[in-house]
Amino acid sequence: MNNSKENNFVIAFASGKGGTGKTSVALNTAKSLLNQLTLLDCDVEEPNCAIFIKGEVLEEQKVAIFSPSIDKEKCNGCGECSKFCERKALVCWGSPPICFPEMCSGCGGCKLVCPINAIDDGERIIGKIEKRSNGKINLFSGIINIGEESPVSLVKRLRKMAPKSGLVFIDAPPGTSCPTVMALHKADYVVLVTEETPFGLSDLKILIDLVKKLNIKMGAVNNRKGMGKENLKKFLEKFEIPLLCEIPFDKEIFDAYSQGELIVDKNPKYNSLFKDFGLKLLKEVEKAKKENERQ
Amino acid sequence: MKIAIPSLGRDKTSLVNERFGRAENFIIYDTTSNSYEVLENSENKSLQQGSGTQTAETIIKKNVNVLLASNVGPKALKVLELSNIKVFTIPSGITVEKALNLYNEGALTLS
Repeated sequence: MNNSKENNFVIAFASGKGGTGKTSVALNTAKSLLNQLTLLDCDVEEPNCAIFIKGEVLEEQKVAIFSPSIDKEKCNGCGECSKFCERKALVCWGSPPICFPEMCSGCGGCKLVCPINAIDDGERIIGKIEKRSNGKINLFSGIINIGEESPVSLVKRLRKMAPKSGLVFIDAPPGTSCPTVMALHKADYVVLVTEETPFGLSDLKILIDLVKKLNIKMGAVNNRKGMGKENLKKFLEKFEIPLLCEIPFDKEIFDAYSQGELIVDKNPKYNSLFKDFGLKLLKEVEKAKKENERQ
Repeated sequence: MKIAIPSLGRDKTSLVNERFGRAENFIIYDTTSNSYEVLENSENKSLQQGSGTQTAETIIKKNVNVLLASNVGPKALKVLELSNIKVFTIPSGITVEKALNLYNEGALTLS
């Protein structure tokens, strides 16, 4: 399947609505497949894959972003930096600007617009990435520091941990805002994990619009089938999106999950369900990649 | 001396605005000329973030000496303090004129 050296399969699990089972579906699928794979936990505001991939932290790296370091001797207080700053992290009224680092997104624009080069590269740590492994799954978890406004830079760094070849799973953050865009960006395939509730489908619609804009192929998983009253099949037909898997609304799955266990390790019935889904998914991704190469 | 007060309206009979950074207007009273000026704050008000600090910057550039306000956030207060503007706390629900009277009577405390 994976002959070329610079060829990886990047599959993102996203949902729009939170709590539909992105992490659960990604982990159960990853565990049931025989492939070695890399899992990137991009839900950096609440990373919880590490609960299920047990093991100590093998590597840890701090993630820092640009932060303006102002040379107060050089600065003439012209205010160009503050005028440019979209986040308004710099305040200036004729004297060297005051910086509120927690408001800065680290874009570096202030340094570029400063007419007398009075701004240097400083840095600010916004979070960290931890690596764990169970031998089969290499897990990289992004953890944003509490109080940080935007985790986008951390998600971007996390994406760079993906190896150039092999299978890569991404556990995306919920919602459809910037961190999610960064998690899905340039993935080969998006798995839409959803539920048949009004909220589930409403947020799914927004996610589908986003994934279309990102020009990525997608397929859906109906999690907790039997819980809601909406009709997912009919909904997906409108968008010509395949329904790849249906996971029943079964208390046994939650019992395992609530104890930090995965259902694929406890019940062979579910192991084969997720394995079948995983194999089907890989075929879909292969098909999508080929189509993309042709384009 | 110039005194600024966040306001809901455009003259001294208007009610004070409980908000600072996202106040619609500021009334600036000049004690030397005994005159009032309206400063519109719509641009800062609609910023995604940084309304408070940007409004502080605007007020500093207007050479204001004293600010009378109900609530000023910590970041904006830091900016105002660094530029030596004195900030006094006023109760909400009063008029701009009443706020100025309270200030003149020395009935207000520093924020």
